[in-house]
Amino acid sequence: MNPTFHLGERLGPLEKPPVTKLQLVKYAGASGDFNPIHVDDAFASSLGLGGVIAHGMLTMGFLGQLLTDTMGTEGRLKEFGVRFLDMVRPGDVIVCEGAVQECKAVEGMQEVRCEVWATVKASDRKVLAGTAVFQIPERTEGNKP
Amino acid sequence: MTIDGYQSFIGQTSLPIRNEVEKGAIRKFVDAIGDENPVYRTEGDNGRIVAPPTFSRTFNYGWIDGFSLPKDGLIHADQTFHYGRPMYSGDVLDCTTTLLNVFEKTGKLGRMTFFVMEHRATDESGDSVVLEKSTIIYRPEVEA
Repeated sequence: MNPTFHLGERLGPLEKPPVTKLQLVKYAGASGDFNPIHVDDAFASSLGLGGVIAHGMLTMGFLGQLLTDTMGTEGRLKEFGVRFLDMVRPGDVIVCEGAVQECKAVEGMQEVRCEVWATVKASDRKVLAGTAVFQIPERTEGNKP
Repeated sequence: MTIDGYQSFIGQTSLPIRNEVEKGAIRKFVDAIGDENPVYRTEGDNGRIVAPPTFSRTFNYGWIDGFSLPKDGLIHADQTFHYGRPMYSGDVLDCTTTLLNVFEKTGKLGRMTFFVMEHRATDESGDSVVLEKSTIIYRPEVEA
C-alpha cells in the first residue's frame, strides 16, 4: 500500500531506546569509526566531556530508520542531509521526527521533501536537524486500499 | 599544516578504493543502530539485501596524497547524502575522496578550520551510487 503524503504531515515520532555505551562500541565496530571520544571514557573526560559521546552518524542512522519506516519497501531515498547540533550521551533517549514540506508528482512518482530532526526526550535539546527527499510510487486506482 | 598548506589540496581527489557491500556488514550496522526492519535481514526480490541510508559512511574512500586531517579536535558539523540508486549487498563500488574547500572562521570559541569533503561511490557501470558531502571543523583547543 502506498501512502499519500500531505503538506505539513508529520513523520514519526520514532522513540529509540536509551543510547548505551555498548551501542557506541557496536557502532564503532560496524562503522569503522574508532575515535576514542566515542569508546574511551577516560579520553573523553580528559577533553572535559564527562565521558564518551555518541557518533553523530549514529543519530543520523536513527533518522534514517524513521525515513525507511515512513517510505516503505517501494520508497527510494534521493537525498538526506543534516547538521549536527548537540552531543548525545549514553542514557539519552532520542526522538526522531519529521514534517512534509513539499509533495509533488515526478514521472509517475510522488516526490516528498521533509524537514527531519532528532531531540533528546523530555528536553528541548535538538541534536540533529536537516532535510530528506524520497520518492514513492503514486497511488493509483489499482492500489488504493 | 597551515591554512595555505591545506588549501593547496583543494580540488584534489584520492585514487579509487574498491569496497564491496557485504550482507554481514549491513546486519552488524543495523544491529548497532537498533533498526529491526526485516528488509535488512531477508533477501529481497533481487536476491540481495538493501543497505540502510547512512551505510556508505562505512566505506574506505582513500586519502588524498600528502593530505591528512588533524588527529584530534575534529567535529563533524554536517553530512549530506545524494543517492543515485539504492545500494545492495554484492555491489562493488569504487570510492574516492575530494577536498572541496578549506577555510577559517573565528568565533567566540576561537579560530576554527572548516574542511568540506566530498566522497563518491561509483559502481562498475560508472554510475554514481552515492555522493556524500561532509563538513568537518577543526578546533585546536576543545573547551574543558
